[in-house]
Amino acid sequence: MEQDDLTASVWDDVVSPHSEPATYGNVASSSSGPLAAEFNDMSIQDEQENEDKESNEDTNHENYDHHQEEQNRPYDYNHNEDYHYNTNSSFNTNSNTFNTGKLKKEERKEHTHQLLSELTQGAEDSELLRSGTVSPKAVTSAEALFNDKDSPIKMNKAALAESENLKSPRGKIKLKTSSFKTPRPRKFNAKVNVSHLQGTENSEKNPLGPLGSESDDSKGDKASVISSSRAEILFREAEAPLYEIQHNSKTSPQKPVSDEQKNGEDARDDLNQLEITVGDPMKVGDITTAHIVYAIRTKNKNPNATSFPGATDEFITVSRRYKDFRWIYHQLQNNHPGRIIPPPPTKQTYIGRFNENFIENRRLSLEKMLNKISNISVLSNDADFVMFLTSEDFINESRERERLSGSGASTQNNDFLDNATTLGDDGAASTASLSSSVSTPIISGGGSGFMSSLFSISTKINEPDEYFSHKRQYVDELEYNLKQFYNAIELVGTQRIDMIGVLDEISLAIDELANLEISKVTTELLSAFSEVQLKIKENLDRINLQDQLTLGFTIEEYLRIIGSIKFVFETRSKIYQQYYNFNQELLKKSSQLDKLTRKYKAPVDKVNSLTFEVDKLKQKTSAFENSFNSISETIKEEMENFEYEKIEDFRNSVEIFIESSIESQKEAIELYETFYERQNLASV
Amino acid sequence: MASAVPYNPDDFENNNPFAEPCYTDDPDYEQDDENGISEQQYDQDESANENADVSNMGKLTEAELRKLLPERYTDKYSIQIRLVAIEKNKVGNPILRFDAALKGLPRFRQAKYKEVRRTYNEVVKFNKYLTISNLEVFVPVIPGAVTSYPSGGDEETKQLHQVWQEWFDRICSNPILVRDEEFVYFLESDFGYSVINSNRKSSVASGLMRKTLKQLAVPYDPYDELAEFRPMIKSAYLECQKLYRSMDKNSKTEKQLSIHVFDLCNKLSVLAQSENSHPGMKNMWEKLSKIVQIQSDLLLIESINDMGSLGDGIQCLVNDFYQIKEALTNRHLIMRELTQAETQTQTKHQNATRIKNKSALDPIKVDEAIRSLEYATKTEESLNLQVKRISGEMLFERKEIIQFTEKKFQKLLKNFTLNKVDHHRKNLKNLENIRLDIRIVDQKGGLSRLNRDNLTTLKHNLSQSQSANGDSWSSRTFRSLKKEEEERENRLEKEEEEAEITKLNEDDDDSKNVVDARNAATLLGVATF
Repeated sequence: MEQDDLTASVWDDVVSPHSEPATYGNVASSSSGPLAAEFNDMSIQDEQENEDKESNEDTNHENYDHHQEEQNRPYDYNHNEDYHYNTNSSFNTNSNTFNTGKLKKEERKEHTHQLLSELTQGAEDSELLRSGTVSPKAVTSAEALFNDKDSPIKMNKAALAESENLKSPRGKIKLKTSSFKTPRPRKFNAKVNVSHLQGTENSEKNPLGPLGSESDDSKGDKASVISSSRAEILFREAEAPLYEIQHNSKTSPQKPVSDEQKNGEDARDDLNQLEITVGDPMKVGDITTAHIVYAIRTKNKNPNATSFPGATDEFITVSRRYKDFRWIYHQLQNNHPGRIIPPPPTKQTYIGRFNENFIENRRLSLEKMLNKISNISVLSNDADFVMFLTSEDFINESRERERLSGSGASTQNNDFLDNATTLGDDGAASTASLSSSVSTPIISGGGSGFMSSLFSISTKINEPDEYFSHKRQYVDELEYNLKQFYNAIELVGTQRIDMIGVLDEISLAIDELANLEISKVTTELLSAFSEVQLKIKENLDRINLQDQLTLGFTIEEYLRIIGSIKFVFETRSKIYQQYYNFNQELLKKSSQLDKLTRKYKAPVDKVNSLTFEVDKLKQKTSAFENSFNSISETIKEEMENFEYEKIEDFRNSVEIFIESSIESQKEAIELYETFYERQNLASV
Repeated sequence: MASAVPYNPDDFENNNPFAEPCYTDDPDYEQDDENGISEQQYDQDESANENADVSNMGKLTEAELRKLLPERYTDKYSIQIRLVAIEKNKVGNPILRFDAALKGLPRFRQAKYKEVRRTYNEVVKFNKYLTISNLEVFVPVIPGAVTSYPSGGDEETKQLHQVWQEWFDRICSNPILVRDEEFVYFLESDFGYSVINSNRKSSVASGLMRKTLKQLAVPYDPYDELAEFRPMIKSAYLECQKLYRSMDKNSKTEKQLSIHVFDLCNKLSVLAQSENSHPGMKNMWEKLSKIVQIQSDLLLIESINDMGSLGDGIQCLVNDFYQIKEALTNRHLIMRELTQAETQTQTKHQNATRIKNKSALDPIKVDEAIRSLEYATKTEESLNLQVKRISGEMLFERKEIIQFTEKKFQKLLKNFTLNKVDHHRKNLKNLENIRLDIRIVDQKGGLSRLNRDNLTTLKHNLSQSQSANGDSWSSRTFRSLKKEEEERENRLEKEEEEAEITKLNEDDDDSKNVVDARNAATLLGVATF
């Protein structure tokens, strides 16, 4: 408890002299006396932190949340952060190094205990803990993140430079991950790296990083600047381990690893409940770099959500361009293999990019995409997604993330996204897509050479699960039909547009005829008729747009979703191939080993190396098998969802289509009836 | 307008003892020779009228009109033609069978002609003849034998019957056309008909000459109505042509659209077949496909109906307007001829004056000069009267045309509107049929439920919006189609009654005809060759 006292005293020391220049305090508007408020906050914090210290084991949500809120309040304003800066720096000068040493030791002990007892994550986590130098520095990042949620300060150069230091821990983790699952390592890596970024100086050697800051990366970036003061970090470390662990348990389900975790999610109350709107499309840039920027306004309705920065009932507005939407799509695809990610709208040819209709259409699709993503809890809590919604410095951050995760999201080939509308010849396109779906696994399997490509053919034939070949066929068929459907609707649409033009001509001609004033009656009659034609034209125009927006939009969206599904299938078959290849190799090696062992005199080192290889292969194989099984499970689940949503979406759009058609017919009837009545045509 | 220096025979004292005293002859004899009855009147009022005309700056007075256009002021003569049937013949050349009833017209052997059969082409020839020989009349153009409706169908026959009957009515209602002697041949000829008075060529310039003359400035027109009428008719003609083209384009686009919609229906049925996972969805797609198919059919019908109800009528108007425009051009040409004749008379007059003033008079030269002056004056007179007659008649015709156009537009638009209403009503009914099928795709009941989960047992209130007692979406009680149907029924009843009465009458006539010896004798007495 020494350090408790210490910290308390430090707080007192620090706070009292530094809160004198009350400009900072003034900003904390919540309470009457700025100074008092500051003090209050501080004291509460202290108490709580102390409490937390004492009761390491019983991590209790409420307490945590409460604490968080308390902490949030003073940090809502930048000044306050600066304020803390000051305090910390002063702290640094006053009572520095010996403190840290002590703290570290104590911390470490407690921490390891805690982790060992609390972590139920699986062997790898504890392994990590044990093998790595268990230092509480990771905690720093987590804590720091917390404190600086709303900081607009961006990751600075120092932070970026820091990332170079990440290499060593990364290596360490990579070792782990190799025994881990394939889909995951990437993800894991990303997290680790990101957390390192956040941890900055101190987190270099900290393998706990990944555990500590799964969901808080976005905040971490901002933290990096602040945490430049070492003392502060140490200070935070000293009091924070508990949260770190809590965090850990909360963020871990983000990995779509097992069903248990997913089920666990439902019970959790810190999930993001996002309310997202996309609006204000604006053209920016000069001629060469012109593009449209959309403003995304996000509100988190769940006050308990931890992974989302900012207070509830407060809109966070960021601006993103279309490219960024694609980026997040691919990033999510890479982060969550097996999930069908709601896709962004198709790319548009250069011409007509700034067409008003097109932009509106795209805006709608983008909004729908984001909302769909946020409706899937796994995705809505994804760190990348949150970053996408909130980050102020998206370009750098996204680049960094992409690099770290190795997803290559920005350069990823996304033909299927664009295929949807550039269908062209139906037959040819469909066969092409079919053949590509057949050929892609071969190509992807080709990573390990010619042999594997041969194998891949055989794997293609031996689809282990009837369900998937079935589904694949179904999806292909559905895609083809929907494309046809879409084509037909498009044709109808263009034809209608032609007709609208002709109707306009007719109305004009009639109007001119009316202007000739052949006789009073004729003039009246004809001008009324011209008006009717004009209204009919508008009616047709409206219904046409409506159809395009309901049926056309839905079909197009589903074509893109089918693209996502296909991608998921491909990912799965890739994994299967790898699994298959390794399995084959394993069989080969083990038979070799058998032969060797059966030999009377086998060279020991050879046997050893072979057994080693076999072991390794076994590990790999089982890893791939696991990931394959899990992805298969996920896909099945997703497919079921897809079916369900498909029915609902299509039913709804068809219903809207019918209802709007009915309304337009009624309007047309009404127009003609009124014309008939007004012009007294009955008496003619 | 009379020449600047009117020829007065008294100016030139005829001191030629050998000259014939012929200049007192009325020059408009040759013009109005067909009108024997009012000749006497002409003679009496001639000089007075001329003076009045001059004072009136070339405008016709009522009395003059009466004299120039006696046909307009009498209803002694009439022809009534009733189209009985259209018989099928070669494509585009059907046979028109009609009955004609005459009143007061000379040279006809019968008062009634039954079952006269003329091919369409013969009627067209007759129409052309009428146009050429009656410069003062806006002769209506017979509507084409091809309609926008499918050829040989009921609708086509109905439409043709209607428009041709209308054409006959217009021809027969014109008092000048009725007096055309060609009518006799048209009605009486036993086997086919060809224009008898074909030697009567168009008296106005045609071809290149006409084109050149049209380039010249329009001669002065004392009648504002007629002066303004031609430009109006011309732009109406152009506008109607434009309208027709747009309508045609619209119809074609609609046809294409219907093909596309049909394509959509096919695609939907394929989609329905492939949808095996959910029966509700399958059902929905199937039903939607059916609905869409009906929609495509309706579109096709509509595209035809649009053209049939409005397009064809517009085409008729286009032809009519063109004819009117040409007739007005002819008038201009004749007016120009008149001005030329006037200048001629003037020069002749000057010539005669010069000779007269010469000291040495050559009696032969004087005689010739006076003779040519007289001739020129006569031509001028005759042209003047012709122009007057044409102008007077066209004033009447103009009113009739405007009235007719008004009525025609009303009729056309009425027909068109009724068709449209019908189309949209059918479409609406068709669309409303599918609503339930969409809502029962799954348990949720679609958007109509609006997340009210516990309302699954609620009934879908999907009654048809067009019930017998009005439309559910509006408070209007009036419905064009209903009224139209009632009227049609009434008319049918009436017509039936009329038909019965006329049948009875005809029976009487027939019996009379058969028995009446006098009639037979008159028939035999007149040569039919």
